[in-house]
Amino acid sequence: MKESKQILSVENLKICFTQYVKGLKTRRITPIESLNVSINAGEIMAVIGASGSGKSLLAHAILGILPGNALCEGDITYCGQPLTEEKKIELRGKEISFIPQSVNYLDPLMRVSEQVKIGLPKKDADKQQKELFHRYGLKEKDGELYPFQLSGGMLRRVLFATSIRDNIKLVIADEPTPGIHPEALSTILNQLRAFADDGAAVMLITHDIVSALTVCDRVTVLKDGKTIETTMAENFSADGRHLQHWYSRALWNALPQNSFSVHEEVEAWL
Amino acid sequence: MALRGTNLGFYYNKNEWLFRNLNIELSYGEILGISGYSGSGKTSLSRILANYIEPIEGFVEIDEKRAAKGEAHPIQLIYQHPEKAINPKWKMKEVLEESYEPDDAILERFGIRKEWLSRYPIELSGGELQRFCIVRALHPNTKYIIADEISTMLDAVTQTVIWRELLDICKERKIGVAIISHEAALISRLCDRIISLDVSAKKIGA
Ligand SMILES: Nc1ncnc2c1ncn2[C@@H]1O[C@H](COP(=O)(O)OP(=O)(O)O)[C@@H](O)[C@H]1O
Ligand SMILES: Nc1ncnc2c1ncn2[C@@H]1O[C@H](COP(=O)(O)OP(=O)(O)O)[C@@H](O)[C@H]1O
Ligand SMILES: [Mg+2]
Ligand SMILES: [Mg+2]
Repeated sequence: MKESKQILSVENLKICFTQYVKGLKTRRITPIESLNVSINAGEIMAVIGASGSGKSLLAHAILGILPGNALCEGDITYCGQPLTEEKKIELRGKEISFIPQSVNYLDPLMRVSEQVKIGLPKKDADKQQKELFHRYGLKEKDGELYPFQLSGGMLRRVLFATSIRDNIKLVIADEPTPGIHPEALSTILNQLRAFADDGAAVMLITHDIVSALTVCDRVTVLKDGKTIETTMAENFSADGRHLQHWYSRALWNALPQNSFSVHEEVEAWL
Repeated sequence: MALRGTNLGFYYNKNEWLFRNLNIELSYGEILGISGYSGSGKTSLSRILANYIEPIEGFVEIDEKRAAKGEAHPIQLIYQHPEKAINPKWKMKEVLEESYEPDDAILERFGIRKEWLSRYPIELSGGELQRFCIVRALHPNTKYIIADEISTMLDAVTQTVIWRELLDICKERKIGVAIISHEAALISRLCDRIISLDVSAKKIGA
């Protein structure tokens, strides 16, 4: 049964960037103003929102991989302890697993099978890598290929395979599913569910709300760097009347599976 | 007038055909859907149609003329991964102006903010980058656009608005658009006609 132990909590996260404009003049951009999200053990939290609303930055802040000119404020707590920069380095790739949005995270000069083996226990890395490939519908000889030789959907599956490790407590998946066909998609979603059922907390950043709803417990909605709503997954149904915020309803109704339309009032806000 | 592929056949490893004897036609102003599994060869087909790579068999014609590799041509390909399609060392303004100088009206239609122009690609989100790639493809001479899974990184609201703007412009200018996607719900909303790259359509030769 579901435990309710909190694994991750992000409170009042604010991120700004300093940019040099001309010469020594600097400018500040604050894409994230106040984000709040918390995830319990055994839970999948879907994080949805406008593109550009700060989903990837949130993921990068938790992992400690923001660029050097970023300034980060607020409290990130992991298993009851402040998640310091040192902790982030220590835990990522081990207890904290990350599936990045950009395929540029793969090393262009390394065969993909080798990239999946990184961080697997040496003695049976080979065997585990083959098994992972099989599980995600990649052929054994696909392992010989370099990233540029793989299709978009295959790259996503390779990225996903690099996240599967033992003893994971927190999974951050940043848009892991675009370009993936239905069967591989459900394998990935079921894997995320399995992580959660084993007691991990899972953050699933996605635009594919319909697929996410098949596995997630709650949904957090972001807009313009703010958390606007956190709600139970089942509230995304019918015409979305159980959703609190107009933007959550707009996202839901704009899906091609729903009405694929955007009200004029909503557009005025974009 | 049309973009036409005749008897197209393609593989990367000898005789492992991704598709063969494939005929495809995209007319002026038409919106054609191309669906298919991940790995079925959609991106490879896009690159053939856009004249980036040559087919092993068959040929591509643009408005009745054979397409020759390397020649400047009126087909624009918009990629699935915008982060791969943009020079990381250029500011966004340079990225756009390498193609042409888009006016403010078009930037506005795609929700591109002025302040983004002075940023580097790494300083934008995936969805923001993709809007640049779309505007860049709308060069005044463009006659055909091949859109390879271009909206998977957009939220549903932005996706709806961007497709509407893009297709409106394409209809105004009679640009033919091939929309490549594995998402049936999306493709059936947008396209006049849909072809599939899965087994039935592939006709792999004996
Ligand atoms: N290095 C950076 N410098 C300045 N702005 C940035 C940087 N990285 C991202 N941003 C901005 O922060 C916002 C959120 O980006 P991101 O988290 O990537 O969005 P998304 O929700 O689509 O993942 C975007 O508007 C983007 O332009
Ligand atoms: N440069 C390449 N070298 C070798 N194989 C490739 C290359 N590019 C793609 N492939 C292979 O061709 C197949 C089809 O890829 P692709 O056209 O990208 O499919 P889709 O876009 O439908 O997902 C995949 O199995 C992929 O691994
Ligand atoms: Mg993102
Ligand atoms: Mg593809």
